[in-house]
Amino acid sequence: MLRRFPRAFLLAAILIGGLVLLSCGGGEKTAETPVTTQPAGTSTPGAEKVPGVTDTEIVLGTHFPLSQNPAAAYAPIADGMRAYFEYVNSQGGVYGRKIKFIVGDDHFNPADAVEVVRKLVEQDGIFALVGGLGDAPHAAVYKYLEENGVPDMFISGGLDKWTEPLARTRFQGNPNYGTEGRMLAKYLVENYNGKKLGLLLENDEFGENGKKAVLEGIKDSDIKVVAEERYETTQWDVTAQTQRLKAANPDVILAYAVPPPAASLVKAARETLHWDVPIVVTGVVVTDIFIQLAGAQNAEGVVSVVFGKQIYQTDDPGVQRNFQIMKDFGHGVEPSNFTLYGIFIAEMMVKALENAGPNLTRDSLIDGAESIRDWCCLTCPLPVNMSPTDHRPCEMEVYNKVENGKWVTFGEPVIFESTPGKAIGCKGPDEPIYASEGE
Amino acid sequence: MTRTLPRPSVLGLILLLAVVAIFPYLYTWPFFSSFLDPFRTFQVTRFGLWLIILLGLNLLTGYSGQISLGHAALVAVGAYVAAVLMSQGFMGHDVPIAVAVLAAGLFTGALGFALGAPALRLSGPYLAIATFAMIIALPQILKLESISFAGQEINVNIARWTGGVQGLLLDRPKPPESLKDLVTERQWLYYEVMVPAVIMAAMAWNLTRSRIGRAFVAIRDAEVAAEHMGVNMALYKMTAFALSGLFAGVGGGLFAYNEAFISPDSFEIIKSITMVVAIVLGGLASIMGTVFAALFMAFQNEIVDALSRLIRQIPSLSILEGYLPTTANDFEKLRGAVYSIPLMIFIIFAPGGVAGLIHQVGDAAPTWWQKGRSRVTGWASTFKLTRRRAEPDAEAAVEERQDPEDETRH
Repeated sequence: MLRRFPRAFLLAAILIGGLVLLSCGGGEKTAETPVTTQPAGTSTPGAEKVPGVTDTEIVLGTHFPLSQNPAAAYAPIADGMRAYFEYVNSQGGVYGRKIKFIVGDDHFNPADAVEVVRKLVEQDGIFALVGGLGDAPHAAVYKYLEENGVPDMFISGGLDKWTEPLARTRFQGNPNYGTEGRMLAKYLVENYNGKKLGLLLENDEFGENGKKAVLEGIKDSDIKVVAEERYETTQWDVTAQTQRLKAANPDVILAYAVPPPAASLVKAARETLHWDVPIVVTGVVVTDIFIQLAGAQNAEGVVSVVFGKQIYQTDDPGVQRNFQIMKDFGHGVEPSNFTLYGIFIAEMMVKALENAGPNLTRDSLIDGAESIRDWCCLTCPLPVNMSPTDHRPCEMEVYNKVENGKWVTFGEPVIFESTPGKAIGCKGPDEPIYASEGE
Repeated sequence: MTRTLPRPSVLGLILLLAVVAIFPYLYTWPFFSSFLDPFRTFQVTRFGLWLIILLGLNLLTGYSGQISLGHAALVAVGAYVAAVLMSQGFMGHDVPIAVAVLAAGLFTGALGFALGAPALRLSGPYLAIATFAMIIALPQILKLESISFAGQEINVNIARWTGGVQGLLLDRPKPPESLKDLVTERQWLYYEVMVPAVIMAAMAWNLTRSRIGRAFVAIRDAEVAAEHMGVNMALYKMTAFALSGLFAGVGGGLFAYNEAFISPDSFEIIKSITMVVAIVLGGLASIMGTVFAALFMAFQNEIVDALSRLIRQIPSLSILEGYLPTTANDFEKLRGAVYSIPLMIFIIFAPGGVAGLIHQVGDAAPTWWQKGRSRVTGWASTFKLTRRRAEPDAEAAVEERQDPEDETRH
């Protein structure tokens, strides 16, 4: 049998060997910190080397869709994070340590996210993962991170399972869809009780989670769901779904969708079908790109919820700082609600690192994050509070809607803070208002 | 027969197998630790997975000429069958990994055989469309909560098994107790994947040199002629689908086991198409080509990373910065474009893929190297697909008698 083996196999062997050597040797030589893939809990603090931390550097990483998928529209969030870390580095870093930030491209695909995150942990030797985006991709890696004791900080997603049950190493970034869904349901019940509701859902866990929360919130009301349409994560255009929704003739539409399909829904309803049905959308949609894609006129009156200030509030000192940071460190990326969110996540990470103190370990980082209290970020309307039992930084939301091509908040903020803080509001960045002076 | 030293190719193969056998321990050795780490073991494990999956696709597309754009759907089916068996057991019994993966392979193989029947009436682009439909349909089916038949009378809650949109999270595989001190989790996984991969590769290699393999090639090259020679067209076409399903099922099952997670989005349209791209780049109808295709799939992300890093380091680009519509930083975001250009250049100049290039170089090698091989014209000749044919020696002889100008490829 072997006698007939082609000689070419020898060449192949040499070539493969060469390729492997090349791809290994050609890689980044900077992150040569040997990574011990010990399970969580077995590390003895003190003498042990902390992965990704030296006296001069902290290596952080994240996974984002940068190509191959409509979700790559989210990439500016990573740009915002990088800009803020560079800004902190220019100020001398955190306790003299500069932050090195590595972004891995996961194409919004769970299998690719596994590869990217393992590379970050095992080869680049990251200290912590920050703001990993996407419920579907992150679902493929969160157990791995948890079991390897890698801090999974401020996930850019809102699934309830990120914080229920609570894992010591995992923190949420967005408000979770459960609370958001209850809020949207409250709005529907107050304004559309007894009417017919149509749903547009992303066909994944994000849509499913949102639907469950909203149905839970409207179950005691007289709202009737008359239609449910779904779209796939690779889709942008939902005209067909909108048409079917119209056929069911609902009085109001609720969409759990990412910005591009949500924009397509609005555009199709208004322009193609001349249908002026009220539209309510998840907070994920509250972005500039939604209004740009839908057209300002079409988007007028769309209602949603939001948990922070927005990039249009240009009078706000915190937002102005955002513009400044993007101008100095953004490498030409335009400030947007995406970069603003990225800066918020990065800021919170830096705050946790500061709280962790000069002897940085993964344990002390988590303690540092859990001890964030009464903290006002650049764009926080209300202070952020966390605790060992509360890993959700954003526990307030306020209604907002599109007015004259901009998202504008209305009504009183709804607060479901589970860690009571002393401060009752935020005057500006790092300026909490305490009850005594607020009165 | 006199005893001589083994031929270089045999030596190469032995060397390759030896490296494969000890690879997960290499990074603990002094010299290798400078460029290897546990992540490389993970990547090479992924390579093993892709090798199994792509061998099946190459049998179908490369050897028997049936284009399938929906191969990832078969992989997903295998992954789900194995994952459901491993997480929920079968009739109350735990299912060991080997049984689950084998069951996944057989189930997917049977499914492939069934899919082969409608494919009999289709060929070329029409078959591509039909198979493409599979990969569009399957993720949506997997995401369903329940399926109703007979007007809501019968309601099957399939999400109970498939996990619906959430997918299935499995227990992370652990090495058995008795071997715990010898292998880490990662190394154990490596062997769990690599052993089947080597076996399947040997199987595929044997198969392509058997009656079945020759029948596949005959069907691909000339359907009518093959039928006249007594090749049972229907049977062999369906067999090709069944075999590729078997490989896809085993690969998918091992994939689910290796990742400990599977969701409907794991295998989507782009993955499916990239798989076809990979086998063309590696070399159609070539086991060695499939090895390169699997390398491509496993290291693709890294290659793109390296390319976009490289481009950023080209000094002339930073000089042009003010004149280009993009900044050098934007090349991060043009990764797709950065990598499509070399792809196009490669496929224009090496239509035979990497395997084709290697044969071409081999053909031009000095005579001592050529000894014992079929005589083929030298360096100047284009790659003539001889190795891809049923009877390379006979065909080479025929080609030699022809006018070189006539040598067109199929």
